[in-house]
Amino acid sequence: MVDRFINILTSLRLTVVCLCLSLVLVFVGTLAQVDLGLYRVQNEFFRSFFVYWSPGGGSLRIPVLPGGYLLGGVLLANLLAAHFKRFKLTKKKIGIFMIHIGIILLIVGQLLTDLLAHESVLHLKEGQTKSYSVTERESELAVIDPSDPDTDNVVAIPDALLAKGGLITHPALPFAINVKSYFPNSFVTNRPADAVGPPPATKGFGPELEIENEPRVTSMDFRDVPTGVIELSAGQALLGSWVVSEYFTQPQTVTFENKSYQLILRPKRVYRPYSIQLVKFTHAVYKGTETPKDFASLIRLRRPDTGEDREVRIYMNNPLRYAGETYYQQSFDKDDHGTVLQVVRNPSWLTPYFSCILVGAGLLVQFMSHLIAFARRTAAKAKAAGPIKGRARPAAPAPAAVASMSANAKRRD
Amino acid sequence: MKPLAFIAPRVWPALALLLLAGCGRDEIKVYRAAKDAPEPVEATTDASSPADVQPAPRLKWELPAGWTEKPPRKMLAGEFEISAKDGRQAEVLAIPLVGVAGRDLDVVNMWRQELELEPMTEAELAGAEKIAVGSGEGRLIEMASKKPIIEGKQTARTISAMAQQAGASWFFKLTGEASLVHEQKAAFLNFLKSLKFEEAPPMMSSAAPPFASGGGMAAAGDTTLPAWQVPAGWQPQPASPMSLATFLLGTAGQAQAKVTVSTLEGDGGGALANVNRWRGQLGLAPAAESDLASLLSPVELAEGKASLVDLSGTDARTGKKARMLAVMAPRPRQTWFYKLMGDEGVVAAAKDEFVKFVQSARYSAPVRETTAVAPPDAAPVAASSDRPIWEPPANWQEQPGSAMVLASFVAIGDAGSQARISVSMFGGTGGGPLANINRWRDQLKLDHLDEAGLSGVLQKLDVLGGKAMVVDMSGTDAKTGKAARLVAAIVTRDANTWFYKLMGDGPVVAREKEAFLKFVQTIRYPNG
Repeated sequence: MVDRFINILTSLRLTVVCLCLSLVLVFVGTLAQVDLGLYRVQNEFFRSFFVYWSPGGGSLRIPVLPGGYLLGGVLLANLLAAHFKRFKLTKKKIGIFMIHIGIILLIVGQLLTDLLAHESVLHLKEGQTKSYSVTERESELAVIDPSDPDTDNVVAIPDALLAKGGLITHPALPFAINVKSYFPNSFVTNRPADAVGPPPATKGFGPELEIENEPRVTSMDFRDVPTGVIELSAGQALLGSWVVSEYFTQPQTVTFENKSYQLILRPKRVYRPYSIQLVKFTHAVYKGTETPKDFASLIRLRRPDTGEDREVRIYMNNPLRYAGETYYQQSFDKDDHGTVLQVVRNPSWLTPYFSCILVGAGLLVQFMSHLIAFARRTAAKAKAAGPIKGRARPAAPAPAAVASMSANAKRRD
Repeated sequence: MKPLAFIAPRVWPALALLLLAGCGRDEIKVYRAAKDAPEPVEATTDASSPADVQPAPRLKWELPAGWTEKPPRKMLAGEFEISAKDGRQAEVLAIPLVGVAGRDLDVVNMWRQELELEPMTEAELAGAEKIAVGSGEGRLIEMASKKPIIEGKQTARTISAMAQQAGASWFFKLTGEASLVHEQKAAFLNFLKSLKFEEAPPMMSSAAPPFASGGGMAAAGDTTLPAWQVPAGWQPQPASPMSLATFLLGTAGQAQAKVTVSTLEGDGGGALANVNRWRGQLGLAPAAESDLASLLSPVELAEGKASLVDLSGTDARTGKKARMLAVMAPRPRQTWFYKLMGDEGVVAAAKDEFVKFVQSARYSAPVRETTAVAPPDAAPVAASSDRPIWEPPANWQEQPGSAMVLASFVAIGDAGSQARISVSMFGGTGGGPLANINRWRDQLKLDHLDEAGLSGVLQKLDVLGGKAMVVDMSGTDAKTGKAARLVAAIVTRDANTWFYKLMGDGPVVAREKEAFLKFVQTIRYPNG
């Protein structure tokens, strides 16, 4: 039984099946972007173990295709298992070894990127200073205690928890939060005078609003705007219900036990121990046109704990790399007085480079060793057959010979 | 067996580590963070970014002696500084909040907290003194700190007032050194009495727009409301953060429908996305791109075309049968959305006036397009300070100028008929009367005149400091093919010639002719 399992795990057939399924997955996933959009496809096709299909849009989920994680995982296991079972490191096979290590590095590196990389954006107006960036497609419900004059005490609840619904408690929260409803994408309107039924919530903006559930956006240019209805309670006492939405840019106030708290659903924030201020944004266009020539953000980087304080110019192809993060010039405000920087943390950003170098070098070593061996054999044959007129040595092999050689090499692999 | 045993100890822990790295994303985080710095003060004089200027409800006041007005800031309708000679200081803030009625207690308690006072109760607030705020009534609350909280030396005092005006909750706050605030109370009360409130449309961008691209929240484009003619019986509703204008049709308690107007940047997500959003509100399945052509019907606007969609279904919120008419009117940098939705009967009855309402909308021009540019062969247009001073009749709606036109107005008649009034100026004679009149005759598909024929159509008109030549012609508008009439006046002043033209549907031109000639007659030219 175990032997059979090992045989399957190490078989070349499994590799081929996985590669074929990967092709299908990439093809289907590409087509699915039309309806689902890039971000949902990334999550449902590639960052998943199975791709599910729900007939008629129902709640039944039937797995129809292996997802990216499963295929990548099986491929990795297959490669490793085959390697350890069959492979013996000899001088002859050093090239193959390098190629395999390169591919393993690629797969693992990709998984690492997937798990560890983080992208966010930093939007600054001229003169503005921020020590945080926001993750555009994730939200958080922040319960803020602003009583300290210098800092805010923040309890941030991720949207994934809100989407699950139900009661949320935490030692740092002054009250319990019961998520009554949560709409990943929504439209909030003023409650019409003739509205029937109770308003969505009793406190804050709630009594004046209506919430419309909206389908998730699929275009890359748009984003979902979530809205939720939450009920706050402390012990047996019910404080009321609030509508929280990314439509509101101002927090709502909750007074509890003579203390005021702020409640805001906002794009998820990532705070850093340093701050960035936009000193000036410049946007040059080609004369007489609206075609951009250059965008540049002059920023001031300040880090209190090290005393660092310097100005940096970030412009196209010249990001700022700082503290494991890279700040790219991404976009700018219409009035040319604000900038949008993309902040990327990717600890494994070098792995694809290493793996490509490794695979390339492996291929070179493998082919060269065959070429040299072939050239030697040809030379030896020629020597045995006697000198050829006008040619002391065999020239480089003809293209046909190289083609047959690489075919040989492949077969031997 | 052996190979697996070889793999396990090395690989599985590594994989487990990797998987662990992915955890922790759904956890509640608790942290201390620096307070959000207020948005930097924006230069409101920068006319190139009208979208960023928050059109909060406006306020007019009589400035009390000793108060200094501070530059405008977001969220504030007014901010003033009071400095006594001995260094004592106080400030006055006027804060309009839209859509947050009933939060007076929260605001007062926030201010009490600033003075390190315990919060007050709703009952205490209800007993507040009544005062005059503008033409209406407001409430006054006074509070003073018990401890010296200003730099540990002086006690602070806050006098706050609250009022509901112009569709917003207004909060006024006089705060600062206790004795100075006490001295300034009378001035503060006079200031409150002197206030005049002007309602302004709240911006869509006061909330995050549904479609934001890039990093920042994209503003919703220019949200200056177009000028329009609201049909009789439409009841304007308080402005809201989600729609720029709302009207209610029908009587309360009976069948009703609602008109909402909003605008989004660019194409607002495109026709399909919006049509499908509306279909969703009526419980209809999304339409495909190929269905759009059959769903949309064109609506002629004063400038360009709009598309109308007419949907019937079940209101997803009320569960009642409903009909919706929605118009998407594209403008250079944004799209305006007009929606009429509600009871089928009310919507059917209001369809014509709704379309007329949409057609009556005159949009303010994007700033960059309003700059008048002289035609290349003409003398440069006089600087604005040298422009004549005119007073257009009240019913003329000012329109954006263009490369050739210094000023433009439109007068609206019945059933969508209208006439345009335009003013242009050229250096010298501008080609002379004959050439210009023949150019206008071309526009009316009329034959050209010669010098002899010209004297037969020209009339003289007295204008301030001189005379004008006036023509009145009827023909067929070469652009629209409809019957049209044109009244034009030519005024030569100094080295320039001014052309005034009233052209459009016959009845409107006939109605406006007298006002037009009076307009021309009363124009005062510089140096004249």
